[in-house]
Amino acid sequence: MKNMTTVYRRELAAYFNSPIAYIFLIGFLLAVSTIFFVLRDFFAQTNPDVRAYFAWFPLLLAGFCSAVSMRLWAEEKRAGTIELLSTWPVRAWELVLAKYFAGLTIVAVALILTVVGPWSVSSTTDVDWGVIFSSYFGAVVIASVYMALGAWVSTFTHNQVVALLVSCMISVALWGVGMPPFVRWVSKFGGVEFGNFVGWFGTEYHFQEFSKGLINPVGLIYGVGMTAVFLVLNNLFVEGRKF
Amino acid sequence: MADSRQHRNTFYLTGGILLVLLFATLCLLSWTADSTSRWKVDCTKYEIYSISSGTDEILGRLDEKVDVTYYCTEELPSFLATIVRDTRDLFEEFRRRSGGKFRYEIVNPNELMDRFADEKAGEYMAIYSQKGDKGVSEDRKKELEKELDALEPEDTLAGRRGLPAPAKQRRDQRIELARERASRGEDSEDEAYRELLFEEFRLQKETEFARDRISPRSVGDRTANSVKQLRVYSAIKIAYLERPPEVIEWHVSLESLEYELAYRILKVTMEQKPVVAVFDARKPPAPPPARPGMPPPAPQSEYSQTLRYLGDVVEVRDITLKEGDAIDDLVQQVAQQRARKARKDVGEEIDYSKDEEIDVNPEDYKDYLNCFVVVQPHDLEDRQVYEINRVVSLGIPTVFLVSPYTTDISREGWAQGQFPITILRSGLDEMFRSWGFEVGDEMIASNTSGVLSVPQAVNIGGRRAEFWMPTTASFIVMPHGESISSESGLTNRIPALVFPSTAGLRPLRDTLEKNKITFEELVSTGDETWTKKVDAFVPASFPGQPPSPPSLLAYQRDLLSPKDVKRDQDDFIDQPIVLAAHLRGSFEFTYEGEPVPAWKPEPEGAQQDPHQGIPGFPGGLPGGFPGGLPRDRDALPDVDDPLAQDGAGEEAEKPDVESEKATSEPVAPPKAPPAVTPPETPPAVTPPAVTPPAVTPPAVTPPAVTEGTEEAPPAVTEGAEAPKKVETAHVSAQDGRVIVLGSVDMLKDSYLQYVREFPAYRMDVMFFANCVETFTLGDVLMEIRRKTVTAPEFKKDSDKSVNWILAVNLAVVPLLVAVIGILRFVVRSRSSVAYERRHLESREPAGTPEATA
Repeated sequence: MKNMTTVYRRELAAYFNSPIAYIFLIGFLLAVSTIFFVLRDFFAQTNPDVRAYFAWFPLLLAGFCSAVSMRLWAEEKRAGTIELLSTWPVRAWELVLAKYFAGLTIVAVALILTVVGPWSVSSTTDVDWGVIFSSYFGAVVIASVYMALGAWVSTFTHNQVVALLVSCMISVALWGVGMPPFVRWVSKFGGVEFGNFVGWFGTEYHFQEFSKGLINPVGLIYGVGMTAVFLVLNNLFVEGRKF
Repeated sequence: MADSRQHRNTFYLTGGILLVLLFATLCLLSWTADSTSRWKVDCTKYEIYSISSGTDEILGRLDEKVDVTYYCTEELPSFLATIVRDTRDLFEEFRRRSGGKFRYEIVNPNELMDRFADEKAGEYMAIYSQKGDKGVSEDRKKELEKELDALEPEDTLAGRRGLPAPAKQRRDQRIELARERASRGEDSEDEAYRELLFEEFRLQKETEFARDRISPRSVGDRTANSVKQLRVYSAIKIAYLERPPEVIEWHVSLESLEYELAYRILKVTMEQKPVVAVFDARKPPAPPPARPGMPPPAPQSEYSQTLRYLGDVVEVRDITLKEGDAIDDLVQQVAQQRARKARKDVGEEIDYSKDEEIDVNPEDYKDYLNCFVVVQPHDLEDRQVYEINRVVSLGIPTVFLVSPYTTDISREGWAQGQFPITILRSGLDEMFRSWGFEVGDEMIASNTSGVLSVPQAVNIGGRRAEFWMPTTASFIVMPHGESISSESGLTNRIPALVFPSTAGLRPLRDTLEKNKITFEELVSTGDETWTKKVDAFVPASFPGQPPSPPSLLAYQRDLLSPKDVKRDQDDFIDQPIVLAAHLRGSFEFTYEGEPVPAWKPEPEGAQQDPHQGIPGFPGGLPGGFPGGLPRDRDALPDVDDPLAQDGAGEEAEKPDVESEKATSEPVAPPKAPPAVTPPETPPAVTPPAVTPPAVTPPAVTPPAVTEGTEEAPPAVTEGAEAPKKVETAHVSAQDGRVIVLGSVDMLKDSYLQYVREFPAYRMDVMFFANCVETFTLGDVLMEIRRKTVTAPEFKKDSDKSVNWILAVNLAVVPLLVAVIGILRFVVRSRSSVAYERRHLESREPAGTPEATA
């Protein structure tokens, strides 16, 4: 645990010591606010629904988490510090978890900063804080999946841009799989049940529930399960380097 | 080396197995996802995704299975993308809570139609194929023939193409069409024939759905670069036993689905419709029969649209509260009908020619009469007041539409007296006061108001033409927003209401407290509201002319036009006035211990029309009074206070009662103060109840006299006049509920005709229906409805906050992050420089020239 904490703090410091974390944070905040207030013109609506604030979270988080996770292993590989890490008396899974939690912390900070949106809007209309809470809960769940996926993809290459692009593509695909039009399209070929089965693996499929104000254990299981799958893969790749 | 390889193999194997296990678990969970949805946590403010205890209660009462079918097209527009999943979730919850009594299926009607048409066309082809018989039995052939014969021309494509209706001819035409198609080389003759049949059967099924009110709607589906028009089915059918199903014709929102389902389940599973008695004191008499010997047609109520709407859910019974058509008679009728039905259900022969008397204990009246509605009470006889009071005190839920004014806004009203205002004297004032409220006496008007049509002269090409054009009228008060209680289930989904010619209600807090009656304000007036007393006579504009009856035009400034917020601010009232209230508690029976008032005999000849007479003058004026020219001021109400008439009215009636006393048989003196009650009157006696015959409904009790007692008859000598029976009024007051709506016009057809121009009128009907449904179908519905949320709206003056919200979100927060980043960079740079300096300093040995320098 101590090793994990050390690596976690090192990773966090690495993020905040470079301008990269700030740039990503500002980009994410601007994207969320611009979509909600400018593109969807919240104040022009007759029945203002704050739930729309979260509508694009799954897609935006796919990009943001990929950007945050791209350097987790690729940077170590590029700088050669991964060899150094291998010699440390730290287990591979400890390294994997520490880096994953560090990345997730950055995402959590970004999400906390977005609370300003619903809070400011609450002065103009009734806001259902229960729905806001469950939406943020859902956002953390799917961000966890994206982060684990990004961390795993980052082990493939020493080039951060490649890691970002590949991770982004897979994350967006994971989001799209759960979109109702895609589920319907798959249902046409394999039946409704198969369509739902495929859709179940999509982040959007579960986030819809959270953004309605429902915390569904199925969504939680999905989040934990998918995160576990990608972290195990990550561990296999990091540990496998030793052989 | 071998160890390392073995270690590597073990590592990958373990990792692989772990991955496969994890993935398999995920797949398994995916398949069983639906069954775990019961553990969902509903975080919404109103728990809109959780089933309320009211629904639980309704589902718990189910004896048989309710079959619910959701007809939904596969291709849905984006705004309905999740509706199937959400609906399935809610259905699943219903199924679980009902213990399997709620069965559901989600079907695609297009698939059903295709399957049906395919099957039928296949069977049919077996008979009429050119290839001959394919082994279909003779019986089935006949059945199919019948089915096709039953197809109505409009059901079929053939019909559209002008083919004749008889099956045989249609078949011939079809064969011809099929040959034509085959000759074009599109299909073989058989295939073309089958295709025609398929289309016909498909259309037949579609028509069948449409008859069940399951029809597609055309909706636009907007995507990023296109707008597509889709034909979408989204309807829910609720079927129970063999009863006509209930249908939610267009289901697009989950927020009210629980209520809609619960309401319809309750409705479809009801053994019999609840009975609602409607007493309209100003209902016109029936017009004379169109042909001699024929019964006269039913009189047209001024509330016919509302009552028709209500008739869908409840059994509406008109009642005149006259001798022979009073509450006792109505309850007797209902009890008899139910007893007969019960006998019929067990296979007994019913003799409809014979009236069998069923004694019903008045305390059980509410089992037979579920709700009582009193509309526009006016000039009520003492006995009618007694009957109304008795109903309420017996605990029968009652709705009053009461106001001292009514305004005729029909075209006839304009022609007669420029929208005359009639002053109503309900005669219920004393009763209301004894309960704890009173009806106001000044008409309320507001700047937030409804519309009516007025004739307006328009110059077209030099010619003056008169058009009826909608215009706002301040006497049609329109409460909305915070003026309507969002706490009550009766009003929480209603955005606006319309109260024309209202004087509002005044709660008498002390009396309410003394009687332990709760007074819940449902609707009240909003801002910019004023009141105006309407007099019985409007002084003439020119000297020498007689005063005229009141009309809207005479009060144009106060009751039609809006008022200026600044100029007329002194006219506005400070405190809101209650327009509708819900009272609960035990309502005092004001006649307790007094002699029961006698029925007033019908006047000789035709029934008097309460609408006839001088427009705008108080009712009860002598018939045939010359219009517009009152001559006998003694017969008219006090000009200064036309509403203070009750005493005078009673006085006017007294001679009738007296004469009646002398002529009619069982007569009681008119209402008298309690002190006058003969002291020897014995207390009310309720004989013991006797169990009725097995077939009679359980609530029906045998001969029982709970109301009144008879004085011991004196010895009757031959030739002497029969002794007069004096009944003493007695009711064991039970807990009851009363809803008072402070406008008699709000539900009239003449106002509802403006529903297109002014949708708030529809809300009036909804509100009234809510009241009656709550009283008849139970409180559970109100409980479910209470949690249903209304669409969010922007708060007042929220425009002012828009700029700072945009600034905070689009500039301040991102800038703050940037500033923190820059500060951290600066701090780190400084500390780095300081560290470097310290490092260099520590490396330089002391005393060296560089160090000294």
